[in-house]
Amino acid sequence: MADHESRSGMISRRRFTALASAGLGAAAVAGLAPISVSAANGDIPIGALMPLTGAGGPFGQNMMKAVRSAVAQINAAGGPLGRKIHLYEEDDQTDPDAAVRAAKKLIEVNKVAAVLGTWASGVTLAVAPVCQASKVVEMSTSGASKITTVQEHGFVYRTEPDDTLFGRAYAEVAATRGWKRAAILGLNVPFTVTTVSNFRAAFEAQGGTVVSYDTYNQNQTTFRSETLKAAQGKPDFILISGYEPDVTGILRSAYENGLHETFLVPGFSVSDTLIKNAGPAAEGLLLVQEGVAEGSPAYRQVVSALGGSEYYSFAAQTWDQIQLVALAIEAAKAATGAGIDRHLRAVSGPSGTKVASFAEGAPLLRKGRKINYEGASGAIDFDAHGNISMANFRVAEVRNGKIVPVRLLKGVHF
Amino acid sequence: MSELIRQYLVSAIVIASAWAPTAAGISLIYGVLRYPNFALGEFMTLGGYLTLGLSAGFGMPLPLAALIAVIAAGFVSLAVDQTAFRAVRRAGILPPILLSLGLMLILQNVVRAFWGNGAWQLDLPLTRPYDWLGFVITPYQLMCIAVSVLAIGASYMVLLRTRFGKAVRALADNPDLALVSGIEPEPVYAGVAFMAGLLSALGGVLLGLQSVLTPLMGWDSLLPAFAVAILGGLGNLMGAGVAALIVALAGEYSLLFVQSSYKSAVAFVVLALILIVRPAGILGGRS
Repeated sequence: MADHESRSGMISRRRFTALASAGLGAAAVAGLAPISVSAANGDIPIGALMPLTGAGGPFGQNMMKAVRSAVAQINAAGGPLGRKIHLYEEDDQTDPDAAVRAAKKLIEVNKVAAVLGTWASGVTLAVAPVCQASKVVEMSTSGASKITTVQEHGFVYRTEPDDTLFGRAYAEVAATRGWKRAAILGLNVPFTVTTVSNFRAAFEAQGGTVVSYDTYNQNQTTFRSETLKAAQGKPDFILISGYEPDVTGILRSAYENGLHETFLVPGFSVSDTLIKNAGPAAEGLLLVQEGVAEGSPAYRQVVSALGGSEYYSFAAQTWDQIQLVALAIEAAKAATGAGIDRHLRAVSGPSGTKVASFAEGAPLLRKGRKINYEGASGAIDFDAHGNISMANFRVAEVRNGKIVPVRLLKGVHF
Repeated sequence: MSELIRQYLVSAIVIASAWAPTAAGISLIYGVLRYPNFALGEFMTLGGYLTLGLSAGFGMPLPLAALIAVIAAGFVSLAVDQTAFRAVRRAGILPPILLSLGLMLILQNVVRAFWGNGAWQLDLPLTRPYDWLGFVITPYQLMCIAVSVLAIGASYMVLLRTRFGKAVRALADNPDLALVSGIEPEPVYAGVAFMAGLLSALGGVLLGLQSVLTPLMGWDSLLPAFAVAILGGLGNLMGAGVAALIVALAGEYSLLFVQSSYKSAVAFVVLALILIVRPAGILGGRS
């Protein structure tokens, strides 16, 4: 990356010399040079824009490792159109401003055809218009339903279950446990609105009652009274729709108030840091995590690439994103954003021969066959918007400071 | 319902214990140096993170780490006052305000640079609470309240009983008169800056003990702390303590009627209503 920057720096110096000595004609020739910087060696430039720092930091590192490993595998299999993928890596800092700057750099300087791995919904929404304006595909791991309205302009795809599906998954957990009374605490942001309204609809349809629903603001620092109020209605469980700092605060408050409530939270609000910070207050916490295709060859490869024992929801998604992009390039016979955009849905399935990697799918595409990629995170069949139409979730529980799987929720639909 | 009414009182006192020292710091700077110091919220953050660094990083016991942290924050405040703020002392109200905003950004980003954007926890074991006549409170929350009351009380006594305190009050009441009676102003300003930094940092430690440390904790507390300082009467330390309790009570009891996301708005409505009746704050300005 630094290598390429210095090369383009040299070109502009060269351009300056050319202007001074050889006149405008030479300058025009040199002016074309930056375009060839990224394509010179025939590699296909792809951008990885991930939260290596900030709130998404605990996930972003693994997301990046998974993509690197997948790129190595794809290139070893010959690469799309017989060309190698060159990965340009950027940190979005879980911050929309930083993400837009990095996306512009990837698109304008590195000439990438796709940007993979935007994690926070705010980041995905900020980067989307930049990608759409340049006809570059954006692959996201964000859940906010609001993104669907942006997807109407094309080029934006999501491998993460929409918040709507999260709401239904919570209701399904309640149904399997026989819970009838829910209290809800929600961070006052768009995803809470969608999640809670979908949860409420499904929960009430199965005979449940929401006994209290309180929203709190992002800048709230203590949660003592809110937690007590939620517990007051004698709920069977308390659903928290929030992020890690507020979920931590609420769990600690419950413990310090002598409560023994059961809490249900989204998987993206719980990292090892939460379990360390909340200590005994996290015991018995129930998580609904974005599912992966456990036992599938693709997911096994993700696990072996990362070498740990965590549940790699987001890393599995970015692994799938690069495989899908490589297959779409092969199908389009062109390494352009527009080409990828035209063929992503077709290679994602559901019709066609099932394949689990670029290496399996590319030969079939070359023979003109239809393929259906089923990857590490699930079946991934993109709908008209570019969302996955069906998702798997995993329910897990914190026991003795470890996240232990409880059961799988398969095929939660829109 | 009656149980909640009792519990919200406890919540309010616990939260007020973190706001009061910071508000007292804001009040003190405004009372003597006559500008609102927006960086004092970040001294809360600094206090919390320095305590974390000393206890988790150097293995100090938490009370010792907190003590060193707040004193260190006091010296940071003193150093900034005697350099940057001193240079603009005679330039009117706007330059120190802008300086304090700049300092706010610098401190916040220094904390981010060292500790990142994530949430941290001070190393204090979680405890189950006492239940005392239906008032549920943990030993550490009781300790926070005691420390806060002691800090405000001690600061008040310093201003009331010491020569330094007399000079502070003289400069606050009538700077010109104080100068002609031979009071050397800069050491007094330095002392005030030290006290304000220390008190704000203490507020940060107390807040950190009640929730999690994030780089935005000071920024998030800035508005309530200013509301408390104004309500208490700028320059009035005891007022800050009483006002912290009023703002916190208004916020917590609003939960009986509205969503928690309106909590701070309700607190500000109460602030506005009280200021209509008592424009100089509940206990009046400067004491």
